[in-house]
Amino acid sequence: MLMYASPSLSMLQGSKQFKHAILKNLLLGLRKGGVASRDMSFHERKNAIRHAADAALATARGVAPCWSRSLTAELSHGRHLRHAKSRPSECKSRSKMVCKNKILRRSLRPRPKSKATAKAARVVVARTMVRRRARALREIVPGGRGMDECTLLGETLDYAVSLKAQVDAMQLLCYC
Amino acid sequence: MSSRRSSRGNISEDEINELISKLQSLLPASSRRRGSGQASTTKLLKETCSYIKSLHREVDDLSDRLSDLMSTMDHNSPGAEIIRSILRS
Repeated sequence: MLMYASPSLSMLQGSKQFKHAILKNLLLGLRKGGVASRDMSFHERKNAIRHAADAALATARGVAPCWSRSLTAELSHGRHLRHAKSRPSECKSRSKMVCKNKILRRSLRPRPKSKATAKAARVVVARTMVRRRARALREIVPGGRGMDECTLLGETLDYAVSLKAQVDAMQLLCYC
Repeated sequence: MSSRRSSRGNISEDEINELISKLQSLLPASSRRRGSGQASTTKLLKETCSYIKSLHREVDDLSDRLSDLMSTMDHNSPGAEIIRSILRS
């Protein structure tokens, strides 16, 4: 499989080499997964394709980022990380989150004591909100749960750029 | 990622701001917000979440499509021929 040597993020963005590495790995993986066989059900085939796509991405990206190593580990355990279609329970919890956030904001709204306490209260609210968002990110970036917030930011960036390349590579295959 | 980032613990304020501004430029159609106050950081993280989720959905849809494509490989469409030849050599 092709490994793309650890590039800086700016090299990664929009990089044709990276996309092509993903595509090559994807084709190899699809062949290995016997996806062209006629005996597969739709879902078997689709899962094999997803698996090959993720493996292709992680291998092409290399072992430098934590998310890539985590993704490889998850794939070898046969577990699929992503819940691509949002389930009904997700929608419910999202509206709960919005309520909770509103309540949080309201309860922590600075009372007009002194400027210092008001400002401190605002900082607490802001920091709590950031932590909540970071928690959400942790769930969707592979290996995110083990990361501190600073690492998480960088990993998220790298992951998002790589995902985009994966999408582009798959589109090349779909619409050739 | 390049090794200019310190591996653990103390990352400078500058590096964090750099990462945040990179995230901002990465997100499609995100309105450029002035200042890097905590409030905009929250919004940025939320948008990043949505962006990654939408990319996941795209991968899922593309997998659907590819699965369709391959199941119709019994028919002799030109696209199928190409994929078949790549996958079966």
